[in-house]
Amino acid sequence: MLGNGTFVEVECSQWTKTGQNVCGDAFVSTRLPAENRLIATLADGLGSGVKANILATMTATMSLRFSAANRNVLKFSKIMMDSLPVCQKRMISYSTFTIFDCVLDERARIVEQGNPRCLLIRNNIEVPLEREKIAGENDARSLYASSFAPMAGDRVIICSDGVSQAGIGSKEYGFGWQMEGCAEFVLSLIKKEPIISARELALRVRNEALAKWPDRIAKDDISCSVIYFRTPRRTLVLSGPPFDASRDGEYARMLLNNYEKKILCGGTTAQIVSRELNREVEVDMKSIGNGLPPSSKMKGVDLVTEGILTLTQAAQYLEDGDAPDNDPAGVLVKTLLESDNIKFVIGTRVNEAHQDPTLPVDLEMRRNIIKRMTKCLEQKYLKEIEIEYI
Amino acid sequence: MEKITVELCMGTTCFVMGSSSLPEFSESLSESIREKIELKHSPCMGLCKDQKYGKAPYVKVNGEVISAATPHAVAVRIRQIAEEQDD
Repeated sequence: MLGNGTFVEVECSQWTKTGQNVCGDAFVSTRLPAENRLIATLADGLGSGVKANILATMTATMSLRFSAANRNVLKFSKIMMDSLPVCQKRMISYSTFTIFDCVLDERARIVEQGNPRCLLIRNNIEVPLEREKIAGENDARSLYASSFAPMAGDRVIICSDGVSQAGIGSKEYGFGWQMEGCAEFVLSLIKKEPIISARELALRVRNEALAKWPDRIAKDDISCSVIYFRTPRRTLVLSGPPFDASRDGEYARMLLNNYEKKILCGGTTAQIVSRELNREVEVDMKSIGNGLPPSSKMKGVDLVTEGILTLTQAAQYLEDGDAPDNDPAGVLVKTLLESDNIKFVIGTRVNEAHQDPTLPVDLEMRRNIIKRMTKCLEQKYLKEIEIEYI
Repeated sequence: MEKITVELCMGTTCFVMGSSSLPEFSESLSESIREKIELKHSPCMGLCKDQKYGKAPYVKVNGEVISAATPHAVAVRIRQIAEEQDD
């Protein structure tokens, strides 16, 4: 979080080269709260498939760790090159990379080696970055460094050459989409949707790059990562009845606080809020899907779902990294991932009927699922989480 | 025409006990009975917390609780009520 309350959202969207099982690009990121620092790296391994994935993952992870340990970039680049496995066919070991290293409130530094130039978008224009060559004889092995002072609203877009070279050799995009084409697309998108999330923007760039390939047959791995400095989106999730029913009113009134998104997870929860705030709740039977109970609609609430089954499925989707948009758990995951700060208020009263051993499925304890979900949201998706038990 | 209200519980316990198949109750009813039905769904009726209501899933027909409900049992009760109304 920047001192002025700005939050940094980091997301990456990828598409694997057609015919391969794994993506040959790797993106990793970490936050170092003690240093008020964020580091993200994107690497593109030589070739494609498993071999490229190993090269890219090693490069992305090593450059992240070395950067976090404040090691000299020239020295660790050499260590990385020396440690990568050598390709049996080409007899070289190689992976391009981009390191984004930002001390919030101070400066962001970018080191690029072989990847397409990254884009800095500010006030809906592309701000050219002054790149200084810090090492390397030829362009393929050159290291370029640039820096800027981040401001609220800034976006940094880092892509693999699967984006800049999308459609290369085709009739329409003989030289590929190029970063100029990508920048134009991003600017037109931001003009239409000024607060588009990093997640959505990365996805849209990836899809646009894929569309440049004839018949959507990607001849390279496509990765687009977006780092967005923005006002935090705060979400409130209420789930489960309070342990002491005399606190139902206090619990329901938390919904009246100022949050961008408000979510209720639980049938009893919905009934408590409906009763205490005198708001009707209406089940939406059309939302039933993938074996999950339907969601409901209530005025002033963005999403009302069933509790345990939906939360358990959502935890699974978060861990898998993939969620459909046609069931309530998928919609819940999408809403959570579009948020920066999520406050969970968890009612701890246990419904004894859920513990009946004759039920055909095991129902997990609410607190356990919430712990599983929040751990994943914090560690995998870098969300800021607050949990309050009531 | 006197309405017959049918409320289906879509809460967790009812759902795992098969409430998603309950809307099928109307399939075996005549068109004239179906027209009388006012169908509602509840996110949770809260009945599973109290053993006196028996087992989930629960359906309320004109406010009267049917426990361990099946589409057949619901249809039977609705027909009975419709017949009583006709008498």
